[in-house]
Amino acid sequence: MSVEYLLVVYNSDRDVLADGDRVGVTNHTILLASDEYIVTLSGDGYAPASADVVLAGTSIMRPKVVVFT
Amino acid sequence: MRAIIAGGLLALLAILGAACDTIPDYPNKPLAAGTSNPPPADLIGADPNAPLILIAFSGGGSRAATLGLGVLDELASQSYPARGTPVALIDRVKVVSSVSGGSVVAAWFGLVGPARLDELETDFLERDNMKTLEWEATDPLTLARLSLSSYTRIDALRDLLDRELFHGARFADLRRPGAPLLVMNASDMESGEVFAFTPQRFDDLCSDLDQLPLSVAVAASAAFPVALSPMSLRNYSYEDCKAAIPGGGWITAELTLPLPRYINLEEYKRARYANALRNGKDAYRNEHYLHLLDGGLVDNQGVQSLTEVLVSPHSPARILDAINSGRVRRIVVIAVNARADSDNGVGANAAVPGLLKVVNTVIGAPIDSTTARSNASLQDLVDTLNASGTSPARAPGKPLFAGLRVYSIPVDFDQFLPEQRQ
Repeated sequence: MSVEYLLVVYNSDRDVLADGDRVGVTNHTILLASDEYIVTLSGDGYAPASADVVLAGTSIMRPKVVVFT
Repeated sequence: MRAIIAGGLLALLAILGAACDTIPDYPNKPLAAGTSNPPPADLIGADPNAPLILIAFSGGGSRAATLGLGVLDELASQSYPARGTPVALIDRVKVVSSVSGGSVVAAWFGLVGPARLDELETDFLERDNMKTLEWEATDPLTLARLSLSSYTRIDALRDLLDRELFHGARFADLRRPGAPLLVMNASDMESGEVFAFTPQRFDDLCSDLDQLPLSVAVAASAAFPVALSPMSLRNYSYEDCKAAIPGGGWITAELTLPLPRYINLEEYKRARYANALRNGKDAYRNEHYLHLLDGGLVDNQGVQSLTEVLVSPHSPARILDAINSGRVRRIVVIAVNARADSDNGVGANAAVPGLLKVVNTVIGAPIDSTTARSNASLQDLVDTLNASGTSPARAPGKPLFAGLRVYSIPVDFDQFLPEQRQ
């Protein structure tokens, strides 16, 4: 199993959910197994409502960045 | 003389019965309407620097149980200072994954904790329980039950474990303060997948894990093929399930998104298996019943379940979330392998090996090679996590997992000198 790195950017602290399960918090890089995930945040009032994220080929210095507004 | 003839006839009936299909008395019960299996208790403490210990106990018969007990005894005798107060390492064991003989010690530890650990030695290991099982197998009454009823050879092992060790204990009895998450592993004959006795898996079956006797899971985990019959469970998801089964979002995502099967095939297959057990949409096979054999056939080290608990985003243990949130910085993974590279005498014998020795090799050799691969993949994961933990200060996104250290401790029977093995 290979490990990838995801950074979810949002203007405040929220839980980051991968396929509905909490895996970390916004604005801090997260470790996740390589895969395709539906990423959402806890609470509401953010956009887009979800992001389809493919995690492969990242590194700690170059995480996959997903921005919610 | 008449008794001998009668005994011989019964033995013959039992042998014939062993070759036939039997409809068993299924030991698992359905979940009540509107309920689900409670998730495991929170495993993460308040101190991120307190070690979180995960152990995998391999199969290997009573040797595995004895070696596992020795490891737990050692953890009980060692402590670390936590704000000036010594804490025994055994109190930091939070996850135990086990297979076959290792499941005996794992279940016992999960049930009674450190205080009564040594009773396993006096109440079970010092007695020759295999001899008891063999003796019972030749008892005319047992033979009659085996041949004339739904009683099977795995039921005899289950009853022995229950009578001599677990005394009717059920999974609900594992829920004591500080208890580790116990993951006993068997092999699903239909799919060839690891079948773990966890709340999550029993949700898939719409079955109540709390009511299941521990002896059923230990016996299933240790159902060595040919010698013992499979342990069978009923899948209530294929009946009128009215339980409120949680989760499932990850299963839908894995099976409907276009890329998971190409990026993470193992996870995709796990989702496909869970979907089949749940009788989900487009299930790739029907599993109305599960027939379980020794967990060693798929993963004799219990590493697959341990890895899932450690890093799966969907594990109810929530350890990955704790790592990513900086709530766990010290993890210890202990893999206890009791399989020994023993001399089977084949190489010293000029004669072509007989059927029994061939069967023994056909079952044993793949188990050993799978164990080696499992341990190698676990070490890869540990190395990757450690590399992540030592991430440079200038890494973007200020990772909260910075400083994570994962210690891997293999304990292997082959590390012991011959005189230490007694």
